[in-house]
Amino acid sequence: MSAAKPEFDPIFTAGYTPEQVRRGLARYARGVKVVADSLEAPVGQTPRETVWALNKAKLHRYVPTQPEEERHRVPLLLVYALINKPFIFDLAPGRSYVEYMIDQGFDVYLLDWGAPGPEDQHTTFDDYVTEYLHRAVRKMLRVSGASEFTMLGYCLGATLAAVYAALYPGAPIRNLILLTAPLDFAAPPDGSMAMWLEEERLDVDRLVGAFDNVPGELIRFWAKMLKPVENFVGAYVSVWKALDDRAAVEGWQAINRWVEDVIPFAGAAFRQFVQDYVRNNELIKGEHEINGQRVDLSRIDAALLNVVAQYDHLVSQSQSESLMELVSSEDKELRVIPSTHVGLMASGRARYKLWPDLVEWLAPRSG
Amino acid sequence: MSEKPEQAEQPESDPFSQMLQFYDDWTKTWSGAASEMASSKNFADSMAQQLEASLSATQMLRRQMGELMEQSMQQMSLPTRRQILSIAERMTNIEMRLDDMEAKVDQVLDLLKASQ
Repeated sequence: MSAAKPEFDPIFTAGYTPEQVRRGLARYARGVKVVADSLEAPVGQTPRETVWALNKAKLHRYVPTQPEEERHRVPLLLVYALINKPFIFDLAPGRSYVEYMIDQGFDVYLLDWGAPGPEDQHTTFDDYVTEYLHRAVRKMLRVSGASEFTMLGYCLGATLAAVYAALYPGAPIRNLILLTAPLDFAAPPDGSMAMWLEEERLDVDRLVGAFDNVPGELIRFWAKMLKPVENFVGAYVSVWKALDDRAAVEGWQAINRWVEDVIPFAGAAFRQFVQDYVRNNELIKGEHEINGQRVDLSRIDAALLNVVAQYDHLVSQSQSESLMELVSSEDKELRVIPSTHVGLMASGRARYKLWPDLVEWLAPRSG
Repeated sequence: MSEKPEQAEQPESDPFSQMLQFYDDWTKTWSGAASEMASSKNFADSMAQQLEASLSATQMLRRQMGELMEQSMQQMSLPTRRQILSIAERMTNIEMRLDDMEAKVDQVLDLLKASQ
């Protein structure tokens, strides 16, 4: 006589009452809906006007909330990376860095690079500085009527901002704020994003040749693989646990949309960044040239705040800190924040600690 | 001796909460081990090999499809992808020149205004 076949029980319901199983399944369905809805989560809601556009790039000016006489004289230009979208600066009301800064009396501009199409595959990393950032700054100064400005770059946006400041020493940069800037790739790349970009692992010409522009999904996968459990499982567990907290769920949805809403990396820009900036470390060595002009970091003389996230698994501290010895700025500070890469803009702590600290540093330097 | 309360008396208990508890209990071990594995040279090499294989196939398919499409479009007297991309690139260059001209006009207007 054969033994009784065990009952199929894929979600381990044995020992639970039907009511507990029903409640668990209902909660599971809510969790799935929260994740699915996150791809349409409302983001970037702070009122703004577009004051300049060139190809896919746009320069937005946020509508000030403070009277003109109470505003700082020096405008703030935000420059984000070429991967993901810049609404990390403006996630949602109450969680928006942009909203916070305009409430503090800053005239805030955001440069949105847009998503490159196949026609942009020949745009190099340096082109983003000379053809786009340079013109956006010119327009911002024109619109604001200001004679000086503050540039805040985040992640690869910080690299672009540093290159701009070094290449155009005559530009009226009063303050330069760099958040998690990947600049120096001298250290072994083990455990960081640069690990995937090493010459023996990645044929960058073949990658660009296969896709024209590097798919954002591939870069997101590389980034997620550095912390696989946290990114592929933990992120969803965290929202599951917070399902009854509406504010926490909305915050998670906005961040998840940002993580998933990737854009391609222009092919020639990716190739140049990997070859010149990462593998040859040309920027820090002072060997990088743009249109025959050397990008000399010692020409940076603006007040400099270089912010490093202590628990950043994408950009290590060593990639950012060596800049401090190379610039000519007399007013300079390296600040190490107990945060993750994204936490600088998206965590609750950022709103109550980092952003007020940034304002404390920037306000007296902004007129 | 006191007995453990029945599961039915725990208001928050359900099959999924058991899974979450399991995740919480093991996450530190998993997380560290998985990150270490993903950061290892062997894993990175293995991923690189898979990417390389995928790129080879993609590149070959794209080249063949591209050539086929290009011939078909030419036979139908329609612009090819390459020609459209070239026009789009030229339009961006024209936009840049217009942007520079606008900036120069602004400068001239400023000078005129200052001289009045």
